[in-house]
Amino acid sequence: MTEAEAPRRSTGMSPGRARRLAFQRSQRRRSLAIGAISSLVVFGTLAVIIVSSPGWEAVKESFFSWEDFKASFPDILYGFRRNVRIFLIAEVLILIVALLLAVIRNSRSPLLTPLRLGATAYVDVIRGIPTIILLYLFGFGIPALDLQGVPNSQEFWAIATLVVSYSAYVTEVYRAGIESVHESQRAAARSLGLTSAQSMRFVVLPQAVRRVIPPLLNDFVALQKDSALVALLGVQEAFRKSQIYVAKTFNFTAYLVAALLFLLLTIPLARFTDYLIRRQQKRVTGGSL
Amino acid sequence: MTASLLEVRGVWKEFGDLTVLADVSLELSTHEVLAVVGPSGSGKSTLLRCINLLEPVDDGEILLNGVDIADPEFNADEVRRQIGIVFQSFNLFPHLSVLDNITLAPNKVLKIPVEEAQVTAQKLLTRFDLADKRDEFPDRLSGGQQQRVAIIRALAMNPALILFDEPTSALDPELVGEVLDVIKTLAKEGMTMIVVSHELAFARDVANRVLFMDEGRVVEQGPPDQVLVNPTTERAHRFLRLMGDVR
Repeated sequence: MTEAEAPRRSTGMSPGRARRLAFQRSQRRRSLAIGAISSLVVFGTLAVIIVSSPGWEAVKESFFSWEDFKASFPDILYGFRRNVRIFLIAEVLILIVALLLAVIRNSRSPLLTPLRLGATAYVDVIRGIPTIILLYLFGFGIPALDLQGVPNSQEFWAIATLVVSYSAYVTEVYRAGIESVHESQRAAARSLGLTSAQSMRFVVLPQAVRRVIPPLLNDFVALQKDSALVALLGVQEAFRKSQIYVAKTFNFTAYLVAALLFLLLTIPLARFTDYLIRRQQKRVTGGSL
Repeated sequence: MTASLLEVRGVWKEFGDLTVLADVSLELSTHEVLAVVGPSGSGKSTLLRCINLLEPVDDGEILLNGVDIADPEFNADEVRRQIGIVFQSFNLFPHLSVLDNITLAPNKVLKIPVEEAQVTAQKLLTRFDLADKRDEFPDRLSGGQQQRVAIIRALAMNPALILFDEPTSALDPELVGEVLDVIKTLAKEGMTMIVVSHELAFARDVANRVLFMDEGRVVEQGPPDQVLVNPTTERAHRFLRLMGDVR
């Protein structure tokens, strides 16, 4: 290798380089300015329309009351801890149940045929039913059977519903991941003597799961929000707490409090998901080109 | 019983209406290197995949140490651990480091403790000048390095036989040599191998016998100097002319 003679890049500030840099800088300034002005116009107009609307004073009073914000906050925050708990427990269970279902749906063993049929039917049926209806069926229907040993805690059935509902979606996410792993990976694993199950466990699944983490997180943003649905069963979570406050005071600020708390949880997760997707895209293009 | 390590007898393989292997037979003794050459689509890769039981054959027998492994009732996992295969596209596991790629099967299939498998892997890596790559992931390696790791991965299972499926076809020309050198070294050490390759000079150099296939049939087989220099069939002549003579 002779590296001495040819410099890796033109050094110093040649006239050509200076002119390009100046041009790029002015382009950047221009797009920044245009972006700022257009945002100001759009959001300013919106604000003016809202504030000058005939009902604004009343809305401001009932949705943006600082006193009610402060008064309702502690209770709703306390309820929100329930949301977090429901969400965390449900998420872990969903990850496990859905993974099992996905593996079953992808297995070719004839022994598992009944399970495979069951898993397919489960995904088809559950994905077609609105979560809110499932919630009523599970939360009010099953406890009403008065079966021995079946818990009748509302929170239990709330979590069960979320797990049953979301597992159907997450199964399909996992399955897409499993199918995205190229057949040659399985061939390589089998050629080394690994059994079908070992190939799945040590070669296919690790790659599949890594690929579907962004879409999984997307589903969990939705799950976090849907943890508010369980208020319908009377579980004392954030939304339920805010409903109670609203019923007492006829002031809707409490809903805003609940919404803010949800945002506090969902926005970081959504940003994190975007970050992972970007990183993955970079890696895919960087690796294969 | 026959003295051959591997004997393929009258194997047929069809994909739908397409006959890929038509009555293919071959024999291979221990320490022998068999090169399989022929035009694309002649069934060479399918033959290897059938021997490795990655594809079930439709008819015929494949005897490994006298036992018919192509018998549909035979446990394929047992066979695959004895027959290594190196693929055209390397097929390393991208989520595992070089070391883990090599130790996965010895550990999970042969139940060798991880530490022990790592010692063996380390020795192989050192032998093939890859010791400094042990903790890298496959996508950080050149194609030649990846293929050499794939060869080591197959070797680590201590197979009775290794199949090479066009091991250099996916490589940049400047990287072909390092992979061929590894295969040559293995040949010298007495590894039993079947090599499907378009590198005719290499085949002539390394193989004890050459098998020429066309349209799923074995057209000609014999010593390299016969098949690759003075073939008896017109088909083989034409192929060699197109490939650029090694004579």
